[in-house]
Amino acid sequence: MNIQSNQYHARIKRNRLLISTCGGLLVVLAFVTLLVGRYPKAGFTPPARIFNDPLMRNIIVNVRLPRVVLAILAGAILAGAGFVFQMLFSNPLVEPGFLGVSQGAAFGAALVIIVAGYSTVLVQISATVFGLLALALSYILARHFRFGGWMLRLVLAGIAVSAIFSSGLAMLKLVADPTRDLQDITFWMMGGLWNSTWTNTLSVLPVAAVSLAILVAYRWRLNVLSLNDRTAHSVGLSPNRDKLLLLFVATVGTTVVISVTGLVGWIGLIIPHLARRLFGSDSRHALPGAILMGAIFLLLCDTIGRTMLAGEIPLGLLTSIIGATIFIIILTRRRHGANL
Amino acid sequence: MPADAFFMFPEADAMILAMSKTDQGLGDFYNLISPKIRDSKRLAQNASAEEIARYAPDLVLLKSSNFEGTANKLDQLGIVNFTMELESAEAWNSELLQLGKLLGKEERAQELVELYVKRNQMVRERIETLDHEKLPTVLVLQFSVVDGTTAFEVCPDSWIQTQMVETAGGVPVWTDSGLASNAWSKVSFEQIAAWNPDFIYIVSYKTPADKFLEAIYSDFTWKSLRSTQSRQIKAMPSDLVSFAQPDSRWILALQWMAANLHPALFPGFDMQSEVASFYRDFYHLEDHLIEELARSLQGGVNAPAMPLQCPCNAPAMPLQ
Repeated sequence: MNIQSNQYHARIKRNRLLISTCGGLLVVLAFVTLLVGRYPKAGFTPPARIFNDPLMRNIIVNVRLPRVVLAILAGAILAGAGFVFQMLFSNPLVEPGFLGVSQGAAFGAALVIIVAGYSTVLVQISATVFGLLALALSYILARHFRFGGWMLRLVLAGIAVSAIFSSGLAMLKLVADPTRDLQDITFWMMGGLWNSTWTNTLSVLPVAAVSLAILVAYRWRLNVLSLNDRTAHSVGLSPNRDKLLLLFVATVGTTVVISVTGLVGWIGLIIPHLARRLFGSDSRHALPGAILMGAIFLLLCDTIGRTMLAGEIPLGLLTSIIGATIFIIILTRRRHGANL
Repeated sequence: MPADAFFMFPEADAMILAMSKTDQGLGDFYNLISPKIRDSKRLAQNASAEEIARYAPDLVLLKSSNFEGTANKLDQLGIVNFTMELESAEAWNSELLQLGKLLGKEERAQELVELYVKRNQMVRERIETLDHEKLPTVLVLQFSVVDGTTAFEVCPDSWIQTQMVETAGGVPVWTDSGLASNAWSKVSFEQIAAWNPDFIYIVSYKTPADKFLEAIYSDFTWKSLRSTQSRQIKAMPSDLVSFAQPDSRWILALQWMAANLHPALFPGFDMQSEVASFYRDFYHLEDHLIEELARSLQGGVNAPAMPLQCPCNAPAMPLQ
């Protein structure tokens, strides 16, 4: 027992150290990326320039800083939501995008903009409503599919619902403005932070922050909720209520962010897997770890996308290329110990 | 665009025509000059070859962006088609002559080419007198607001907007930046600040470019740019279409830009009068139509002088 207890405490200590390291890395990266960009020339600018160049100060405060904050928020919530979805559905292949939540949110946001013009509150509400609707549809469809195990049925249902809302988005644009090239929906389908301002960043900050806080507060229960309902009930949880709450919170946080960033894929799928590799499958550490790693990943992708070339590289392109590569590596390497 | 070139031949309106809808939001020139077009059903912008074939046309004019998609298929269907590039002064000259041959109106085509050459030459001769080491830097920036998001975009090096800047005696700042070669590329405000050009010309194809100017001049972030401080951010001229595109009016945009960059070389330049003479010479429009077009003329043409202190209204849309 002593050996096991020692190993357990050592693992806890290691995980806490890792979380602190990730947190510290995120803070350092946030500061460093403020000094990386296209002005005055591509790449890193020494901090001393801030004191001599008012335009540099202006760019850091009004252009880069809201973008960095939004990247951190979006990465954190997408990774956190992906982790929660994978735990609650006991399915390592799900993420908000795979269950139609992201596409539903994008559809809802675009619908309001086309019908009523751009209004921050309406767009976020519509994105949330349609994101929740998509999640519910995926779940209901999965229950009604007649072949395959639960894992497969949920993924298939998610693919179908995602496709419905993606094509719905395209139809919206076609019907609303038939003379426009469909490339105009690139923003929603590929995502991007190039339009981030303090206005839209601050508009999503409260909801996203509260969502993250609730997910982190509930991380202890995720381990039990990922088991069967009878076991969860036997230790005093109300599994249906807690699952619904977590799904609702994760979806609201995701949809609110997507209403500003467009679709950013792969983060909710890849980062939870990486987090479990690093922290083990205990949600107490893996969830905060996933949140921090998601923030770091998206921050890095966005910094690359806005710095490498004169033209902006779509964010979804980078997260897909890098995310898919990491996904292949994860799946082809032998796993040691970590279980979902 | 091919349709603009086609309507410069007076016999155009007498021909039986099918046209696609315009995809630009400033107005419809063809509805104005041709009652027949105004009353007819228009094709979709992305009409398929099969849809076009229903009209059994003798000739189809296409823009080069449709070449692979539609022109090849029209060839397979045996429908005569002419793909026009129109992305340079030289292309306009050669393709107008070819169009003249196809329509059996070579004399008119030659007349049009000479009109273009005359206006172009007038600009080139004066610009050649400048010291090319001291030319001002220029950025042509498309503003678009789509889905509640504001985008700044620059065009490829090979497009007519780039050639316009070079011919008008400016140095386009966006060339050799590794941007897309066949589409507008999104750039960040940071990149614009890194270029920090002497002149910025705002282009907008869906809404009047003037609307963005007030937002720019009152935006705190833009105040630090050289062109903002010297009040050299202007809207490219437009009436029912923006002049800064591969449209017959590209020559007007060139003349205006040259006069704006080097006013000392073009004393007494009067854009209103140049536009009127353009429509008279190239389209043989009647005075009342020219007056109607003059009323819709916008951009840095006859915009009132901006006050020294910018209004402190919040920008209509986020600009970063």
